[in-house]
Amino acid sequence: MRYSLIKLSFFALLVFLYSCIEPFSPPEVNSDQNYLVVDGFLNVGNDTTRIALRRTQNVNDVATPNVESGAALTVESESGERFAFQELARGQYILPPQQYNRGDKYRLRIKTNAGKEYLSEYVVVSSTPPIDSVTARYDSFLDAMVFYVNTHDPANKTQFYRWKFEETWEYRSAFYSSLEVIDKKIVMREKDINLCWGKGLSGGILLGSTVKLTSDIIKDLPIYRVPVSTNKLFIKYSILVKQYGLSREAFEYWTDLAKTTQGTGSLFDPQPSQVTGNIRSTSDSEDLVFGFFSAVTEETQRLTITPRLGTYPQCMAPDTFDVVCNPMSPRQCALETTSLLISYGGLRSEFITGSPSSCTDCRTQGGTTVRPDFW
Amino acid sequence: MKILLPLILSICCLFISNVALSQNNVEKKITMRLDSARFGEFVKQVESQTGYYLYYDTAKFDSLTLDLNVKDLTIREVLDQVFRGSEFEYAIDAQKRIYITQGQRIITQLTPGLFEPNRASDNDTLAYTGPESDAKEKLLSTAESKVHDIGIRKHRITPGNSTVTGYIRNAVTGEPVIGAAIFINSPSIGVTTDALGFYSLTIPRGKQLLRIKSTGMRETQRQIILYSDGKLDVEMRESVIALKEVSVKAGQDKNVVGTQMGTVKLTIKNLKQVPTVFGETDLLRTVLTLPGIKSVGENSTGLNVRGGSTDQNLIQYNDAVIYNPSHLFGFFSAFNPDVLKDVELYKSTIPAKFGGRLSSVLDINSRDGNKKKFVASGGIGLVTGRLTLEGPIVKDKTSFLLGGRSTYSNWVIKALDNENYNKSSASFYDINLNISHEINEKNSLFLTGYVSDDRFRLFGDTLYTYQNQLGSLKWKHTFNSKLYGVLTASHSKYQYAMGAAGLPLNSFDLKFDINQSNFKADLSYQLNARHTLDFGFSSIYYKLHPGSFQPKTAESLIRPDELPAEQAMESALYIEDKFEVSPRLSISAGIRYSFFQYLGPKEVNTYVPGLPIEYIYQEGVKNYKAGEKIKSYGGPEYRASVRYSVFDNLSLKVSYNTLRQYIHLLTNTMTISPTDIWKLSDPYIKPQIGDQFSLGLYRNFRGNKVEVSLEGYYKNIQNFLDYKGGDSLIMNHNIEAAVLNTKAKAYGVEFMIKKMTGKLNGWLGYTYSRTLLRAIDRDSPDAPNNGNFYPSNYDKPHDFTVISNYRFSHRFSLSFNFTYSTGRPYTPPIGKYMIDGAQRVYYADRNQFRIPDYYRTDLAMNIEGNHKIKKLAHSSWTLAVYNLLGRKNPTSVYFQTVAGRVNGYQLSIFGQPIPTITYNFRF
Repeated sequence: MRYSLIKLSFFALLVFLYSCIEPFSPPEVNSDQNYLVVDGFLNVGNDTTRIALRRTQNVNDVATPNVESGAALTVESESGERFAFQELARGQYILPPQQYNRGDKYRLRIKTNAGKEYLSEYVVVSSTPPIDSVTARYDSFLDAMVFYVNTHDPANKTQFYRWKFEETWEYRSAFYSSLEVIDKKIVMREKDINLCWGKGLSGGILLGSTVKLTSDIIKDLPIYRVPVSTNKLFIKYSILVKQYGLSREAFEYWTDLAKTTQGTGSLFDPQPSQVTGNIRSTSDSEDLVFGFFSAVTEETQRLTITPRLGTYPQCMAPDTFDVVCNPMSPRQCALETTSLLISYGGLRSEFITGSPSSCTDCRTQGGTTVRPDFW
Repeated sequence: MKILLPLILSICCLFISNVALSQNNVEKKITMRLDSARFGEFVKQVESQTGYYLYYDTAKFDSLTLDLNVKDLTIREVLDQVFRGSEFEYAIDAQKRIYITQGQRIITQLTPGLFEPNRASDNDTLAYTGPESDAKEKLLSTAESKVHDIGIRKHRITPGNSTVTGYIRNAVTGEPVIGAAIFINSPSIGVTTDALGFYSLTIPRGKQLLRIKSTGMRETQRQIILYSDGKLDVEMRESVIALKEVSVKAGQDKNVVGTQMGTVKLTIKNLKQVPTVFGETDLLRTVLTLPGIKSVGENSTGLNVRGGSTDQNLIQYNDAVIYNPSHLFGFFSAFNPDVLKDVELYKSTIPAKFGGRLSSVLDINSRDGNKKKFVASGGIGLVTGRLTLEGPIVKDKTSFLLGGRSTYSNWVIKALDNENYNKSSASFYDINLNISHEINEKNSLFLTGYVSDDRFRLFGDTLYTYQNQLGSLKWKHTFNSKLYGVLTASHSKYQYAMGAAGLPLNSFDLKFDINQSNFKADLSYQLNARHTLDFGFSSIYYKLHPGSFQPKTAESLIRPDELPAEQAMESALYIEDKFEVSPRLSISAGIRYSFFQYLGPKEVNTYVPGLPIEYIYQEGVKNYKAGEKIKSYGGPEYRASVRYSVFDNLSLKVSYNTLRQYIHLLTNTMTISPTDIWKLSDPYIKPQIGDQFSLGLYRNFRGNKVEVSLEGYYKNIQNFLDYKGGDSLIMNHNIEAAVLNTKAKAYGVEFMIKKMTGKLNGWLGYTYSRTLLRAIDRDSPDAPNNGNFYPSNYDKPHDFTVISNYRFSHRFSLSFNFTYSTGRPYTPPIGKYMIDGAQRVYYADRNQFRIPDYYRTDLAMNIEGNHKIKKLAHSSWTLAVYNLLGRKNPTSVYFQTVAGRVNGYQLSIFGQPIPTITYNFRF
């Protein structure tokens, strides 16, 4: 008892015991102020330009972001050309391929439904040299497949690069569900839900620069790493790398955006940075716009590999279910279970094996059963 | 006329006998107690108690009073006490007659043994022995009443000025009294003693009354007749009852009379009255209560003086620089209160002898050890224990002071049940050693050694350690009464290390250190009564190891990395003149020329010309050989201040200062963290240049008891460092790309009322101040807030502080503090958006919002033991409650993404009342 008393009194001395952490929710954090977000670029190549307009959200808003519909978007060149966008879907604006003058400068003008006008700075057209190659090498130390990109600009003019990629992989669920329950009857499954194609987009901002080099060559720049443990590499894996040449301003914008960290404000955290872009409101400087407008061509290259790394998906052993519902049976009835049915079992097919959808339906892992057209 | 000297002389020669001599041995003892009694009273008592008869010139003694307290002393002992140090002599003859004469003693007998050669001489009559220390104290009062002759005596005193020099010392400890004011009233001329207690005062020749005042000392005076340049040492007694004469400033009216502005001196007595969070007297926390001085948060002792950053303070401990003046991440300051003497803070007029930092100079002086006797003192607080030993090595010449302080928080943490806390540890210690040695009257030596060490481990993974080490040797030499100088050699080292051993594969050691070797000479020359010149030079050699990152164990996969060492030389020359134009107007003007050379060996990064200094544009490196000059900077720094007395106790002061700073603390976190690194100016990081203009009004009321001051300032800082968003500064090979050159402006008004005497003492201060920054390259995408001015992290416009102490009795006093300040700015995330398939959070403009205001009250009670001078140990208790109202003042707010939601939190470090109890002792 005495010991604990001493302990209690000293307990009160400690620095971190005096400290307390409480929720802090100042009005400025929960303000409903929302700003325009411009996501997209002018595709000066042979592809359609897609620009999405959205609004920013309160940091704690869980809803999907509001889109800005009904706006009028035009691309203007310094020489006076104008191209108007069409709204394809709500907030999605497209501009079919046009004959652009690559020596000209372009800017984006946005007039919202509410009558506000936004204008980007004029940007030069950055042309993108083609990707020389996309290669993949297995790194035994990391136990991962690493994808590299190679490119060069013989004119030594591009210097700043950005890459995006789309990955697609084929995968299977652990068990093949050949049966399903339709109208309280056990029938053969029509659609295969064992084989899927997963799809992913590059999340980070991938940048490269050759300003420090004497020639404009990017050699073996690692852009993505796929650990074997993801099991994406077991059957077949494909990556589509998109390359963009950037202006210096665009490169700096993406560099700064990449540095924006998620957590900040604690005692030992660095200062947060405020990155907006090159689009401004024409009337109100307080009305921020997020996004960077650039005019660029896109170069792509796809690499498909079948390294067969990883393991066949594993799941807990299937359960057995009664074919005919029987309240006295220790087994559940196949018609009532939420598990998906695999196949008949037993000498006389007296039961049906089944497993939860996470083991049988590949779609639960995010993929689709639709075979991509390039597969 | 009672006596006729020539007559007596002839009579006394005639009567010598053995009988008379033997009579002396059975003479009566004297016991008496006199308090400011006239000399006649003393004579009457002596005569009645002993039967001796005194002969003296009454005219010479009629104005003399004396204090005496003797018990059972012989007549000789009593007379020795009374006349020692005075110009009076006494002689006793065999007929019990005492002759008191001026200057020459009457010889009452022939040399013993003259007639009897075989008889051993009886030397008891003529020998002089020094007074006992107890007796000496009483003699000080006679020193006051006696007239001292200074210089070579002449019959006629020629008109003009002469210089008196000397030391002011503490009569009990022999320590020099620093900052004591020595002055005469008409004409009004005064000086203060320097760090060694030395003064040099030039005044008109003739009869003068020197008055000497100092903090915590009993005021004294000396009557002098000044014939020519000469020397007068003065011993002062401490005011045992520190009730009346404690003052914050060196001279009571220095506030009004000196040209200094924005200077505050706190003695250890002032410091001890202020309650602090752990009951421990804390120098930096007390300094933080003064107007114009702020810190970002409660857990930080980083000082932001008048809008300067925390690295812009020159913190000197006995003239050696301390880089990290705090313990436990800033919860304690790294100075042991038991060895401190005082601290002087300069925030607007910075004397030309200081340089190298922009905002302030914090000059911390330790005590000298007691030169007379051994003393041990110490204290036991809730978190720390401390012990100080001091005493003479050679009595009255050499003394030592050894102080140690340590925390025992470690075993407290270990005793906790909580697993997480068990793995934590926090410990620190500091050790001070001072040796002072007086070689002779003109030369003295001071040696200081200081070590502080901190270890902190949070939740069993990463161990942070940091150490300060410094040593300094000062040699003070007086060339003549007008010129004296101090030579100082010092070396300071600060290092930190961070070791993580949690995951063997990721275990690492991160290290940083900074070394500086410093040599300087400061000389002071008193040209004449109106001009005093201070001049000198200093040279600093820096060597920094900006970082080394090494695997801790063989299995660690950390790739070793090391930043190359940096070295540089910083030198300065200065001269300053204090010119007393008229009693109403005085000017102090100085110039300091500083120059800095960044030296090899070093690899300097080069960047693609025409592009910003960004990591992405690094071209290569350029190599420089050892000792090769890479970049040099230099320039003049002007220091000027003017004081004009409008009325007797109202003065107006103006000052203008420029300063240059070549070493910078890189920190992009909100508080000083031990992992912040120091960086020398290099080809990319330019020196910071500051200039400050201040204007102040000073008025003393009620006989200098209440000081009121109002000061305003405007300050510009060029090349102030701020940081680009999101860059890490640790182990950054392109540190120049992470910094942002900004221009800072700071302005404010400080109002202070101070009363340091009487039962109620303390101060009240209000400050309005702003500190705003703006990127120099306003068009850069990294420029915060679109290149406009934004508040600094420590911009807290309103600040109101009351520090008070009420003494109910000599043994019991109550202290009360109140602090209010505007909350500091922060940058909240105010929204999120999707771009290019990923979610991004965006922040408000930098520092546009503020955390809730801060206010806190503290209460402390000091209970002293009885004031009997003779007892084994003198002890005192301090009971204090920090944050009496338990307000949860947010120190910081931060945001974390938890399950897709950005949640805000506020961290209050001392969010409840914290009671403490401290026991102090001295024996």
